Amino acid sequence: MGPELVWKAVLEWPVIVLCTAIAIHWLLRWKRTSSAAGVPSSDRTSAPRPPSRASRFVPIVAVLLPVMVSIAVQEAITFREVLTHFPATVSYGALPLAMLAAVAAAIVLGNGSGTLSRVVGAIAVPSVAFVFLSPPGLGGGVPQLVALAIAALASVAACSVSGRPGPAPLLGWWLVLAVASAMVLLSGFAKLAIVIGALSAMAATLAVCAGTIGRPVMGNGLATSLVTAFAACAFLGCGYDESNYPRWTWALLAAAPAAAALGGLPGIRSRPRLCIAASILAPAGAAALALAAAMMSTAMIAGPADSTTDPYASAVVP
Amino acid sequence: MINTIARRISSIALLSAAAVMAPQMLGAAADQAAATPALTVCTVDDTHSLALFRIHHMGAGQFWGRFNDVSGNFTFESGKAEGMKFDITIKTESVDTSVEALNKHLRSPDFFGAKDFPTMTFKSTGAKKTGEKTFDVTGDLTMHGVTKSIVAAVEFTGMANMGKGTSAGFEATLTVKRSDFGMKYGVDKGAIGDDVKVVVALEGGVAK
Repeated sequence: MGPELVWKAVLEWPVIVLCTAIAIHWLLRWKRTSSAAGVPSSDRTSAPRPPSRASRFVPIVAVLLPVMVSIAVQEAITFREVLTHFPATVSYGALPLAMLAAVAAAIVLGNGSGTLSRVVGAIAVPSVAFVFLSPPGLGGGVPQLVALAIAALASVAACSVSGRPGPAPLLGWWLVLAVASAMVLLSGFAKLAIVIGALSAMAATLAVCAGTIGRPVMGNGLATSLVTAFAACAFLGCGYDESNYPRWTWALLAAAPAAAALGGLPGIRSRPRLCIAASILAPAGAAALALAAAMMSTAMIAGPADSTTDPYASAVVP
Repeated sequence: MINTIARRISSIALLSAAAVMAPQMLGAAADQAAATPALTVCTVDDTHSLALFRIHHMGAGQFWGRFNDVSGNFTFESGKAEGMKFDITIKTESVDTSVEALNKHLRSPDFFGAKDFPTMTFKSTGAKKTGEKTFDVTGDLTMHGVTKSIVAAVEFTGMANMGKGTSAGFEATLTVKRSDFGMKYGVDKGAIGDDVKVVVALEGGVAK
């Protein structure tokens, strides 16, 4: 049941939204063409649309909504209960609260374009979220700080290319989240995989909207909150991993969004097509590398041979 | 001199009386012990004990799994419900379906959440005799962080000398609604049943 649900969340929904968006796009284009039929052709040449800045409240739709909805549907509880449903002993139950805090911080810090405000936002948003997260065996101390450092670095890197207009960064998020969902599913935690699948589906939906409606700039707020959600899910996936994937593969997965910064390198930045390809494929490639490494490492580790001489030996009765 | 002889005679008389009375006194103590219940305390032998569970899968077949690590102790008096006690702990990490991918999923927070809840426990609070060798045992089952009172049908399966010690056995059967314990994965869509039949087979070495 798990894989079907994840693939439904990751693929079916975006495909339906994509088809609907293409249909609306063609309808609007046909309407514009037919209404402008009398206008001279020189006036109808379509100049590239100017980029528009995404609202600072987009993280609510992009991050908080899919997390809340996917948990509410899975647990058959209300939105309000999502924040209070889980006992304190269930560490992953703090994920909605962490996302709420991250999104709130992203909204407050806004989409400031200055270097300082970008760096402050990139560090502050994951820091606020990671306060709530302490998965089994990784709570407090060094593991939490390492996870936070990875999230902050990935956040800074993602912000460096968040000013690029168009749907490419969001398409990259669709793929990177889909790979993360598969890795978490293979580690044995289907519920978290579905949450990540919902985030992936929402990223794809927003990418389609961005490509159809206008050329919005993603902005730092959305970039940092997406990186934080991604790193938080990878951190929880690592804590609850039942496949014993090496921790460095989880770290690599959490850092995968930072690969989008490749699109900002001098040689690539000047070539628009290469830049778009880098921002879509580089993070997804890094995440796929983490998944492949995790699967290969567990395949190579053979279980120890059973040294029990007497299989009927009893611990209590000799 | 006369006093010394008299003292020795009285000492000998006292010792003689004590020697005569001792067997009678010991007999009285034995009678008193026989009147109080002879409770047998057993430590669960994890090699010969396990817990099985059965769940309806996708509305089709009944799927069986087991827990291999069962520990704890039980106390009983042959044929009586009075004094019967069970204190059993099962390690959730030991869930075994013979398919590793399924084991991983069952250990994850989707089901038992073995990292958050490493054990589930049953502590009996009372017992009622229902047949020659059968009892209804009431107790608190703690699973997935939730404690609920349940009733298990328990059968005394026997007691035997194993050569180097004596062992006794019980088998408990109960049904739990997993959603009552916050374990809801697959319940609402009917993919995986809500009612779980549990059979716990216990063998314990009698404590010396």
